[in-house]
Amino acid sequence: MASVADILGIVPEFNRLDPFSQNEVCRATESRLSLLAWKLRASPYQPVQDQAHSPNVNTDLLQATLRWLQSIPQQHRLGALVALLSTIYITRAELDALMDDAAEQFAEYVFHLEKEPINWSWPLSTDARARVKPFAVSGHDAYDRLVHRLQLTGSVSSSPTHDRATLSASLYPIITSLAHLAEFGSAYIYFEAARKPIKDVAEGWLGNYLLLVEDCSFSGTTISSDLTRLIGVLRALYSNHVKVLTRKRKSPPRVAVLIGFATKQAVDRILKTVWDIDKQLSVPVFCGIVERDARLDQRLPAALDTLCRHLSTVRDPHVALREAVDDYASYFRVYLEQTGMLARHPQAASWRWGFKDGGFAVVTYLNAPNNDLPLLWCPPPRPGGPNLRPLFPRVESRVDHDRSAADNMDTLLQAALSDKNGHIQRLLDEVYGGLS
Amino acid sequence: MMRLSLALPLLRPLLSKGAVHVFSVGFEDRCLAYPQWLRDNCATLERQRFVCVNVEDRAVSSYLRGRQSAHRQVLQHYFPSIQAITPEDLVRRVEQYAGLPGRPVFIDISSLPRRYILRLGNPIAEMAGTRRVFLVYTYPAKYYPGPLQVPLPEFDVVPTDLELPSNPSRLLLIPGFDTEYTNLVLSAIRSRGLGELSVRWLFPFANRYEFYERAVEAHLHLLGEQSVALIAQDQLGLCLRQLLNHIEEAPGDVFISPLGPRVVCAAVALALTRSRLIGNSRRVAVLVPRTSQYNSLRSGGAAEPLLEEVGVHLRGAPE
Repeated sequence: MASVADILGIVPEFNRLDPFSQNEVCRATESRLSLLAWKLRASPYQPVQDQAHSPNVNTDLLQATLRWLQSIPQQHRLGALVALLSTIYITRAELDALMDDAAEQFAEYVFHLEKEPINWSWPLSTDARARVKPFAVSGHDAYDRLVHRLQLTGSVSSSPTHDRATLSASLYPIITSLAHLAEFGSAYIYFEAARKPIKDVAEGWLGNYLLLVEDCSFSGTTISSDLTRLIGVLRALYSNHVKVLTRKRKSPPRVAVLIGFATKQAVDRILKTVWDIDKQLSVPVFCGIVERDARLDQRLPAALDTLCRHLSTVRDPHVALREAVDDYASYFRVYLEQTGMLARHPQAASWRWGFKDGGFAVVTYLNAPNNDLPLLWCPPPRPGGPNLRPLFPRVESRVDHDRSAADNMDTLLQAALSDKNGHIQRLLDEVYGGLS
Repeated sequence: MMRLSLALPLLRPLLSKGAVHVFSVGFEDRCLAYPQWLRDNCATLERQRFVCVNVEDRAVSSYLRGRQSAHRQVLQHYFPSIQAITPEDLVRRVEQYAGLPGRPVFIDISSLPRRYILRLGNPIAEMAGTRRVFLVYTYPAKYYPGPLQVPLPEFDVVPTDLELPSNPSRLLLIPGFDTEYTNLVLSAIRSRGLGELSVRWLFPFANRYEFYERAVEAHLHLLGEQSVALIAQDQLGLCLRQLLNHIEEAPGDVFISPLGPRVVCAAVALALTRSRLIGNSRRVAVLVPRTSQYNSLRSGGAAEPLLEEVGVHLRGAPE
């Protein structure tokens, strides 16, 4: 059974400290690892939960850490240890609490828009609840739990297929129908089948709140892409009919974004996306936490102050972290190649700190984002790489990484938005004209 | 709670008609953040009423008292018409200055001692019937490392000693990162012969993630295998509902000990009142250890003030 002293014993810098400093570093390390172990017990890291091999972070954090450090070159072990001790591990309960926090902000927003009814029941009144349409940006179970707590309809797991209820999956049939209707109008062979969902959505979303829900967002890429498509659909459905809707006292839906854990970069990107599409459009973003943007080496957590102070006498932990990250860059590059990111993002060749050089050390119980330090999640290629298993291996699960489907949707949406023959316009004239 | 810059569109119409603003003078910089914001953003200062709660506390060191005095002077310079009151006077004077019914009240609790925040529930409930009531809270911009305050083995108790549950079944313990205060509460419970009382750990959680982790890390040896729950420290309405659920789940009377961030005391105060208003059969009392001496300045600067309308959470409850 490994101890913290065993772990520190294989870090050369630790062995050069005087006994007093060794004791202090040991205490600080033990405290951080105890917290991490406590969180992992409460909420095991899912990607390794079914793995038979032992030890892993769930079964024995200390042993797993010892093995991990042993497989890292000696001169980079301090950097790797600093990365691990800086890691924020978000448990299931914490993620739920973050999403509740963001949902409460959303509820306040709705409360004010609804003119602060005197008989409002928190978080959402029955009437408001019926008009909130939630969409998962990715199919995670934290979304299901939030929807359940808020008593909203729409769950990802209740669908026949897991992806069906994500925003992307919900938009696909709408965009496809719009594109075909725009192209062929009533001559479309499946005209009725395409017309009905458009009519249902166009009517059904009136006066609603469309709420995009995501557990975590680091670069804002996925939400921004989905949001762009959703706004495109809303423009196709409503922008030419504002007058008739106003006359009938109907309003197009409002869009809001809810994120449990977001970076400032992600929030800025989402807001910029909306601004670039339409400067008049307001899409509020509600977050449980907005994390500062700065690479980990520029903002080591205060909890590591003692450790850093003592270790600095032999080697600056910030420098050790940078050098460990540099050393790992070649493995990360293989990941970028294999996932096609290198081809899509020319600047990716210079990334070393994770996707878009994020440099984060935040892991949720569900996954490790690729914006994190690759040391934490990116396995070396096999064969050729060392026998090194990262502590928080990542699962590539997100729909957003399937670029071909996304590109196809964007092309279809452009066709719908151009509506060159006015087919959609006429169809919607008919739909909104029939509203009471 | 909402950042004031985001809340501005909601506030403008309220401020344009005039409102009552209650400040409290403390030794931390953050007590000036909301007054400063008002001065910079409110175009109708002449229609506002300003009240300042002066807290005289002998436990505050002379240096810190000097800072408090300097802050008082700044407030007087900002708002020459400001009226100084004692904490005991808070409710009566707020009512008086509110003048016309309907004039909203903003209470800045950033520097108000916990024992006074904990007594705000009933006055807020009373005011909420006729006007909108908001709480303002400002976090410091940074925290200084340094010695923690030292608790006294004495407690502030709310409502009062007379109404204390004699045989509470549960302690809702809301820890900060200072285990001395936690230990004091736990040993006081034991010394009262309430060893059977079950402890429910409620860690304040959200934007101050580092402080949350520090609090958990400091208490790991006390937690053992016990489960913990999280409460939303920055969403007073949500926090109130969470506290009410915990009170409801308790098999009998309840003690609450809010040792974490001061802002949580506001939700606890609302929970005490709401629990009474809805006729909860459980008696609820709050225990907070007193501090022997405030002699370390542990924070500096001020983040953007936060605001939440709290009156709405006490409205509509049966009297």
